[in-house]
Amino acid sequence: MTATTPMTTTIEHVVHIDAMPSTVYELWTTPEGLCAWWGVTATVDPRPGGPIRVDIDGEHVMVGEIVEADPPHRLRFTFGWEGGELAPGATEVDVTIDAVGVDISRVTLRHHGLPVEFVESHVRGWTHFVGERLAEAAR
Amino acid sequence: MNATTAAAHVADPVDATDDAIDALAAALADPTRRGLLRLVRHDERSAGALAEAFPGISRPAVSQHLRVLHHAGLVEVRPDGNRRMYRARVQALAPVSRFIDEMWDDRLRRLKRAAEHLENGGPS
Repeated sequence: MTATTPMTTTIEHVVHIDAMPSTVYELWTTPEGLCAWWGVTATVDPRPGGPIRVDIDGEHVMVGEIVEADPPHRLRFTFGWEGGELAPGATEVDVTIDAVGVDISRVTLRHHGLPVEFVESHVRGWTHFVGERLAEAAR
Repeated sequence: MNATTAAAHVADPVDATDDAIDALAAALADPTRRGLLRLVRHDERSAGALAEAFPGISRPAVSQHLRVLHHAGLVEVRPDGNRRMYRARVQALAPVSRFIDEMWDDRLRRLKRAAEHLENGGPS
């Protein structure tokens, strides 16, 4: 699902996990936790202004700064790629972890500020110059 | 060589490579270039008109920004007399969102596995 504001798009993912929110939160906010699913090495200090850095595959390194840390339900951090591919601070990831049952968490991830407004806007009227292929690429 | 005639060199949204994504992201990581893109989003504009829209930036600098956008496939250019006319190539942006979307899809599956493994008392 996406929502569009000028020049940026938000990507949203929702996943249900058979685990307590605190377990999921730990996986986002400790180096060991981050290395269990996201990266090969990680640094994180989960408090506002603290760094979060995740080397995803030895080549792509996500660098950001914690914006909000409210254990075990909310984590927001800026997201960029080291080396300037996507400027650090340019986008923001917002993770919400809700308990929706006994030991069941719903994790909602929103990635804001992605520079892709056109992906949607073209569907609403850009086709006059981009053609069918554009609609295909947006799916 | 007139770089503006190399309009065929553009990123392909369907067969995007990592290089194409890198070029796109780098091109977008600059406020002037994003401003230029907005100006040519709906309307084709000449290089001169675009330079006038950024009075604080020298014409050579604006030209350089336009070259970066063009190299990334974000704008297309055509000659019109002695002017160069620019407009956005919106389809070039699709790979960035797709790359990020796929990354999260993949990683959140791993997050789920890791959390459920921990909760079931497996070795961490």
